[in-house]
Amino acid sequence: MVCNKRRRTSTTTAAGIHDLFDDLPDDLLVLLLGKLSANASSPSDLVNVMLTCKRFNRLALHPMVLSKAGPKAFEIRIKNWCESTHRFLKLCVSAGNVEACYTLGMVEFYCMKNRGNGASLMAKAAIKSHPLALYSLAIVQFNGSGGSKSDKNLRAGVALCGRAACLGHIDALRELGHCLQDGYGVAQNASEGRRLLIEANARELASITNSSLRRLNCSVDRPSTTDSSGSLLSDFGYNIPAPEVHPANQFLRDWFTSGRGFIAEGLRLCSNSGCGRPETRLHEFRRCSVCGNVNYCSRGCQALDWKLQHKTECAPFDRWLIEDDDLEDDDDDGVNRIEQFGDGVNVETE
Amino acid sequence: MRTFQLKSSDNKIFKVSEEIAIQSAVIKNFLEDFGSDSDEIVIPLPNVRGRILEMMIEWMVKHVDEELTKEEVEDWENKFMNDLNMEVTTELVMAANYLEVIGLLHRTCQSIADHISGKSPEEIRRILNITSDFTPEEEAEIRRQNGWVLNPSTN
Repeated sequence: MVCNKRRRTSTTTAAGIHDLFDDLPDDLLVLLLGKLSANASSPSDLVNVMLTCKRFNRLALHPMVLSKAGPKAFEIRIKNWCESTHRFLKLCVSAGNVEACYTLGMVEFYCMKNRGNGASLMAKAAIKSHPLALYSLAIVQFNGSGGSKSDKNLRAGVALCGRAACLGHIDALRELGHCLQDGYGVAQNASEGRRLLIEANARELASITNSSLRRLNCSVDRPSTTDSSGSLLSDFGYNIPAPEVHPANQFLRDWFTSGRGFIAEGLRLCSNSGCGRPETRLHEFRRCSVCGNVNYCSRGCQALDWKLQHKTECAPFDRWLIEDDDLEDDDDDGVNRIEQFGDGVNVETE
Repeated sequence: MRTFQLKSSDNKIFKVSEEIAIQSAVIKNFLEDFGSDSDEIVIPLPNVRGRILEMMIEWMVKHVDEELTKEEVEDWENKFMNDLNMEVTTELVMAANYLEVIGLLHRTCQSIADHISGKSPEEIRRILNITSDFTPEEEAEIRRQNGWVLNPSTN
């Protein structure tokens, strides 16, 4: 008690207020700030800490704190993108933060068109088993993004998808299922492919119901980030909003739709509004071969957008109707239909 | 089951069983080095006052109770943390660090982090009783460097 008292009076400021953290060693404060940054709901959480006092300012930029920052800490608004945003991301990258590697990798690859740099940043995150980075690299490989059509590497795409799927990435699992079903970049195994597709649908359903239950429990009224005119479970009589968009995808989408970013003539954005990926060359993306009006970077985006929106607006394009009379037979759940036609008709050359 | 006595800085004595006490890595090492099975061992803990030590023991008792489910322990932890003020929580952080009770260390740090998360610098200073030692120029400079975060409507 005596020693406690002595310590306490010695840290009492002139105003008679005891500074709670004076006795707390730096390593504990770093541990604490690491927890704060891991759960940060926006980048401002960290900056507010920096503005508290000199010691906090110094320790908030400690690599142990920055390396733990979660995805929301990199929720960057387009209007505010500037040199210091870039510097902050780079600081987090050098602290070993995988989210920062992935986010900056996507921005460099698609927005800044620094393909090599972007891909290597994503690879840095992928090596540390970041599922989104693995899947994004798979899309790059499948599409030959940043290169020509001959730069497609289907085997590499399948391998990356496989790793992402093992880590629980649902779109990767779906893509892998399609690849097996069609023998695309891997030896064909239709039944195994079908199994994976069913598993992907089941997991998707589970994750949506879980997250919406959580949302209901917390009774958090958060405006949906996507304008969902349909919903994933509308087929089952539920009305549940689209899955939350990752900050990196949000940034890409805003970058290209706000006019800040520039897309070369003839290139298109992925029609899944939660994706934001642009084409890197003409006719890179697959298009819906029923209507021909929408384009997708991947089958994951195609399947998701179908459920969220496209099935309400997709109308067969005459030419296809004539060529495919058996369209109705395959239309068991809508998804299959579009998947089937999406395949193979990857590039429309006119 | 061996029992021991823990002595706090204000000379309060707490009897605890080995099973409970060894959740502290420091006490565990101490007992291994000591190697005696006598009840007479008194472990002095001059850095922890009685009230804090009592709370730590309460925590450790809950975490060896095999009848509780994971959820029940979590609920209990939340209630335990909610009842504490910032000063006591900070003291627990330091005590848990000193005695290496890792679970408690992380939970208390998390609790403080949650309290200051999403707060303005002024609010954080008030919660933690911190006096800003920035000059107005220094504070302005940090605000300028982080303008992309702080002024979402400008630029």
